[in-house]
Amino acid sequence: MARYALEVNGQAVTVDVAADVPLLWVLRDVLGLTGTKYGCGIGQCGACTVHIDGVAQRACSLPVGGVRGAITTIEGLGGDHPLQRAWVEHDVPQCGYCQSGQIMSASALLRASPRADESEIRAGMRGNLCRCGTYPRILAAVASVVADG
Amino acid sequence: MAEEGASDWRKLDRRALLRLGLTATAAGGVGIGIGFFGGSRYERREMRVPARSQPFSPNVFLAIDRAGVTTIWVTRSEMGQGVSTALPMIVAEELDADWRSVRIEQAPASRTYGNQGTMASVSVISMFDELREAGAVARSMLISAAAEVWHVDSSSCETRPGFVVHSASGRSLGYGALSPLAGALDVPSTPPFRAPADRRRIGHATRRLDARDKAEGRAIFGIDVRPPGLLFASIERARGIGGRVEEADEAAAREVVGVQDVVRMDSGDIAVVADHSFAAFSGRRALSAAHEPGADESTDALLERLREATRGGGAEVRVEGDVDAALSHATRTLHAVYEVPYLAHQCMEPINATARVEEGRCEIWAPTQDPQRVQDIAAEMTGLSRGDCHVHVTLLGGGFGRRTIPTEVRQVIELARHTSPRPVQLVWTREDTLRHDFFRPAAVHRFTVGVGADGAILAWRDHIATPSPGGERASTGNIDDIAVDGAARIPYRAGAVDVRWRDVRSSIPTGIWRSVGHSYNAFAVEAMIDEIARATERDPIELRLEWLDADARQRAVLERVREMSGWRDELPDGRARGVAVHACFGSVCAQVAEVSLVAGRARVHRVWAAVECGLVINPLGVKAQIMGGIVFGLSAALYGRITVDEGSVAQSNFHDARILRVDECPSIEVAIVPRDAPPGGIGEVGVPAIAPAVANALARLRGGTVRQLPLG
Repeated sequence: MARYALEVNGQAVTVDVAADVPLLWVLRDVLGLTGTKYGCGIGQCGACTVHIDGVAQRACSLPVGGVRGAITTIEGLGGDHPLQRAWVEHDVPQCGYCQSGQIMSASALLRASPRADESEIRAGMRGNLCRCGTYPRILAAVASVVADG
Repeated sequence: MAEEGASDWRKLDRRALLRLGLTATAAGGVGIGIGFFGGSRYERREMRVPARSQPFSPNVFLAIDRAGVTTIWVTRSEMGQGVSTALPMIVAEELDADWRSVRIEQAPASRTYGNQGTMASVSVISMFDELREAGAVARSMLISAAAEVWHVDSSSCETRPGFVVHSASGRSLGYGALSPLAGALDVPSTPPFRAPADRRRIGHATRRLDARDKAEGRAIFGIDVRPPGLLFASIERARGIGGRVEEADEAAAREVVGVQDVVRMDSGDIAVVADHSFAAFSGRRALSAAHEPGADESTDALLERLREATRGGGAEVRVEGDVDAALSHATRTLHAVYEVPYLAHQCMEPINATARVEEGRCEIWAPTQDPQRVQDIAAEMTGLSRGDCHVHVTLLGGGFGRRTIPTEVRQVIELARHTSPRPVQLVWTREDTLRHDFFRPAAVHRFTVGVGADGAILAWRDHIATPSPGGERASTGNIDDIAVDGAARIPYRAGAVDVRWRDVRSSIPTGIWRSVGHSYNAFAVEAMIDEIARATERDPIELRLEWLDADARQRAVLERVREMSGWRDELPDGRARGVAVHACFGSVCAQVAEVSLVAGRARVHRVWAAVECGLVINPLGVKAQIMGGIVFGLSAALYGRITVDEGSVAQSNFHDARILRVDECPSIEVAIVPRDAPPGGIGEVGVPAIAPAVANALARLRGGTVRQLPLG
């Protein structure tokens, strides 16, 4: 066990866990931030997507001992992010389990490519699975945010 | 005798639920205890209103406080299908509530709430009348209360959303202000309903009430509950079906940082209990457990048995006329064998359940489709009364039928006794969730179809073999209605008919999977119909319209999808279209898929769907369910295949059990065909038609036939 100092959503926290514990479980089980989800554990589904210094990363595959930089989770997006508003406007979620990861991936994508077109959005979001199949509405919501500038 | 057909939705609803009264099976110990609609265990007379803090609560479904906030209890599980918006819409409509004042609460397990099982697309169907009545009763009492205040006749009052109004004098009172007065009145037994023409909510596109929470990461799924003192557990079990865990290094597991305990369960499986989930997973790895091999079973061998079982004989599902005689008059006879594989549910939220067991009390948090069964199990295992077993129904990160099965609930209650008084959350890894699923079974259809020159079906022989999806024969007699759903009675005009079914037993665990028997029977039937169209060079929609002369509902959606898709338009080179139509769970859906081949594999570009589901509660939700059902069915059609080798499931995670990604998703257009009739189900009807629609397009692209799934 070791102590790790992390910055999560603008707050300094310290956790006492083994170095190999993925950031996902530190967030969910130690810090109680359950917005970031466990879907597969092998970086295949995107449900665990967070930002490290603004870049989308899969928290299931990041041992806490190796995390460097400011961590932003879905809880840290503010609640009034244009994507979150678009998600409500376009009635995007169904079960909703994948949606935190979808929004985190989309927000990082749009920060890097604010004028992404449909094919870039499809390519950029392909790491995020949705079993309920709301993909068409995800695409519409992201495109609407691009269109609104 | 199996029966189906979308036309009489009430009969379908009762039969659907009767069919689902399944019992335990040798194969997997699966028991699905489901409340019957209307009668038997969950009768309305048991519904005493629980104590509420609000002054006005005339029934279990709603309460209004002095501020006018209207709380509506949702008594079916929200798994993405939108019941937590649609059911309150029905109440709010008759109540004439201000929709902005509505907040929802998920009802815990209690007989008080009537039937809480969520499956077979029945939530709206089975609750429509009682929810209307619940809202109408409340509105009637609010009007009476206002009339008393104003010393006028109730008949001179009406409502605007959230207000009672006396038009003649212009006076109005809000529901909040009226709530204590209404709360003192007797509940009327036959309240008037609002006229359909006056509807402000039902039929109007309504955004989901839970969308904001889900977009903000605040939605709590089963795997997210965090009662104080929570421990986390994961169970090491044999990979093989029915196998046991043998030797394991429990000491090594206890050495892992964060592990609190290692528990050998009654089943012989080993649970690792820890401070956080990952430590529990690491503890399992440290066990280095040896597993006894599983049952000697493989999907290859099973498919051989299925094929063999379709060669003659089988229980009579429907036999009319003399097929052999009719075949002798056919212009052409088609022979075909259709095969589909096992499929997994692959809900995004892995399997989990949380429990705390203490002296005299049990508390469970479960993302379950059958909360009262969970409560019954808790009572049975703890010896407590049902009233002392509190079951919280969380949001479900997908259900699709898997979460009707309480295996993980039994496991977590057993564990909670070890961790008592601390609560424990049992988490199945994604690998556990996939490998130990209760799969949609494989199936084989063997067809012999005799047609006339114009494509008329003179003889239709369909011999089906499949392990029963529910694991047990559902009805009395030899037929599992669920297994032959969608094939027992084809909607097409046919001369002689001979449909039979053989149950082929296998140790591979099976369970209900979104659209159940329809998920494979629609593929076989609709692809076979298309073979007839191709063999007789008839347009597949025209052919269907001609032989669906007895089914106006299916014709209506076919005509709509033909128009929507521009069916007769010329297509770009290298593209083909396929069509399919299917009825299930009270509704009908026709789909057209436009497909091309990319590097020899099917690429679906566009899908059009026309759905008719009687009265539409929420058109935005209906379209979402059809769109989602199409994507769900398309994943299965292109990639879905679970294989078992030497008793073990070969697949383990999303890299080898692939589902559709956003860059493969077709554009999807959905139209709702109106029909003045009671509501039909919507959660499943989008699924069955997509596989045959794509297969039919592919057959035209490649030539020949497409008789096996997956296609990808």
